[in-house]
Amino acid sequence: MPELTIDRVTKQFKNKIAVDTVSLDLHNGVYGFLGANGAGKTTLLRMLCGVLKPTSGEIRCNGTEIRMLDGEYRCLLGYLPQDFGYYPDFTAKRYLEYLAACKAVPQYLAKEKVQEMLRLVGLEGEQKQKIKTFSGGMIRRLGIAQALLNDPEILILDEPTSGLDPKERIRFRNIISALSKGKIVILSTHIVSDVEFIADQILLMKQGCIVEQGNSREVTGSVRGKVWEYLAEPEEADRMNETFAVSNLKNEGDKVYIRIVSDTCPCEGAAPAEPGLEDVYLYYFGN
Amino acid sequence: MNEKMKKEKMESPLNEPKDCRTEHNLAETAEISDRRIQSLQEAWRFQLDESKKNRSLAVIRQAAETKQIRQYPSFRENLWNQFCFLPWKCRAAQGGMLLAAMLLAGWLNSQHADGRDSIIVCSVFLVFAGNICLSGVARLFSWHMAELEQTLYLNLKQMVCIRMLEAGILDLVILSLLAGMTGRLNSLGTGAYLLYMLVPFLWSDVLYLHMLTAFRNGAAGYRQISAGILCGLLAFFPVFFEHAYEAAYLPWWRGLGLAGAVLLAAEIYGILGKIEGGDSLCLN
Amino acid sequence: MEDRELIRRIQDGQKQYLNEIAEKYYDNIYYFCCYQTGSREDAYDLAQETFLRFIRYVDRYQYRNLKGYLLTIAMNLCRNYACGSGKAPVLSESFESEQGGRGEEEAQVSCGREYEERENSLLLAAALRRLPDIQREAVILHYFYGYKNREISRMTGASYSAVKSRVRQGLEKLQQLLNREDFYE
Repeated sequence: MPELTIDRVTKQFKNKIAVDTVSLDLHNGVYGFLGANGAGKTTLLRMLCGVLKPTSGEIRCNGTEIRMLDGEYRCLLGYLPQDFGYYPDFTAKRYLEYLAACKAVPQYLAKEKVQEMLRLVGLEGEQKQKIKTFSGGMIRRLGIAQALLNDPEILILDEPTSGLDPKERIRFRNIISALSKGKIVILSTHIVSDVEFIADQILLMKQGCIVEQGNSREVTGSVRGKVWEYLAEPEEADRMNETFAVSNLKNEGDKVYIRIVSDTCPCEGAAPAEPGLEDVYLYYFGN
Repeated sequence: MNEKMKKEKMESPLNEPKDCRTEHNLAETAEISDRRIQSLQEAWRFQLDESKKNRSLAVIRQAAETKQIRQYPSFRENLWNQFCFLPWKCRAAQGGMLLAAMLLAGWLNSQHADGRDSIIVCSVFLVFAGNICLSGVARLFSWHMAELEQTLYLNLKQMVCIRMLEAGILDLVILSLLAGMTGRLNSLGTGAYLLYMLVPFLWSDVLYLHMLTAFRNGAAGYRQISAGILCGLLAFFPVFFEHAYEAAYLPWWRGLGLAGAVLLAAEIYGILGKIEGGDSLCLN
Repeated sequence: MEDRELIRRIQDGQKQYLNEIAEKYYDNIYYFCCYQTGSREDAYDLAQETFLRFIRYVDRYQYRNLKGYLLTIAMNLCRNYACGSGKAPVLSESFESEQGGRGEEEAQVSCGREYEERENSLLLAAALRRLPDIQREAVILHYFYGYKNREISRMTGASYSAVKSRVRQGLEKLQQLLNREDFYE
């Protein structure tokens, strides 16, 4: 059972600080990183993989720095990057076999593992087709398959469900949930429903720092009393839309149902509502 | 005296120190302590508490079950794997090159070509061969694969090294083929001949590698073709310089050769350093 | 089964043989930890930790001398144990507290020979405790386990001559202690 310690890690690119003194202790379970683009999620994940070197601070696995562990650490790792690359003239099967060889999956296991993964993501029928003929969703699924090839104990997925339709997204969620026992799974996404249902811990990242951390209940609890529901006239609704952070706007008959995230009561008649994760997102990342 | 010492040596379970004086002292009390120590030697293994031992063994059993045995392939296996997964087009190109080299050498022989011409032709050929081999390395960086490859067990740095090694071996084979078969066409010694072949080759490699890293965002295909053409032109320059192959200019060739080798080493070092740093692998 | 064969099978993926190794060498490791640290209680944990560490790094282990390797792990753990716990427990206390706890059973169950064994081991342990740590290490490895000076030098990382002098001085001191009449009171 692996343990990852992120110790005051900072990453600076020329004049921009992408990750600012982040400290975390990761154990078993699914960790969901939520944040806007440019919040530093991808940079942090790349540092966890060992692709980028932190400007300062250390990342340790079971007490030893990952730079020291080198190949052994990479054996434990499964990574799905945001910009997932592939050799277009390879077939899916050959591509997975190539990666299996590079990931030190033992020879006698490799063929079985590749077939198992193809079955898991539903690409078994298309395995002999060249990857350049695949749709976006299929490519993503291929990426998930390659990340799982070496039975990683640490799974790092960067925007794994971008480009997937709801059915595929649910399927992906179920796969991750089923596999997450005894592993560390780190997801980075800005699709709230991805983390809402499967993350044990949700971490909100803004401008390189972790602004909120906790399980689903704790995180939504942090904005309790800051979410309001109101039935407004259309003109009123337009005005409110411009002044406040609105998480939902819906026409109901001749009135407009409006859901606002605000520290104080936005207007008379607004009733406090039970917060959801999207409201949390808006609270922290809205203007 | 000797026999007595031997006897004591056999009786005492302890190693005898070499010092005579201490030995003498010990010999006196040896018998008494021998017995004591002998009984202790049998008794130091006392009975363990079985329940505690079993508890420990159970914990160990648990750890053994959850342990995932990971096997790390040897360098040789890595080399072979990389070779196996080169796409057939690449392998065809390399095989074709080898064949072409042999044909070229044979043709030059049959033509009894002028020494100077043969050198030019061979060096140009070697340049192109080098480029094709290096394209295998360039492939690693294309198609956004670099970031993912860096996180595999066989990370990008090692893959680059392996591919360069394979490229180097192939180039060496071609060079020796050409040198062996056409060497006697000219009047120069083998050393000078090798120099004339190597210098354009080294410089073209330097140029190719530099273009690889310098123009990251350009279209990969154009980059390679333009690099290839430029290098070919480089190798042609002796045509325009009448006395290039005369003995007087040998020191120039030597100097260029040395500079080329140094630059090549620097380029390779630079590439590996960039991979380590990681910043340039990612497209933010 | 031979050690070499066990390791080969384990590295091939047959993890169940890890248990065989544990069962085969647990006692030996336990005795080392016990005499090195002077605490019978903690020696169980130390022996357990030795095997847990062995399991953690077994992928990379290159077979040479398995028992020596396990003893080296145990030795390092005992060194850290001594540093970590500050003062090592006074021997007589820890041994006696165990004895006190089992005093009643003892009177009923143990026969004369077992009692004598326990006495002897107590004495030996007490004598060993009087030695400096690194001498004690070398003496235990040489005297109990029969390792040659060269092998001990490799395991502890010290030079051959240093090991040789440690063993000699340690044994001399041990003998002096065991010969003193008042030691046995």
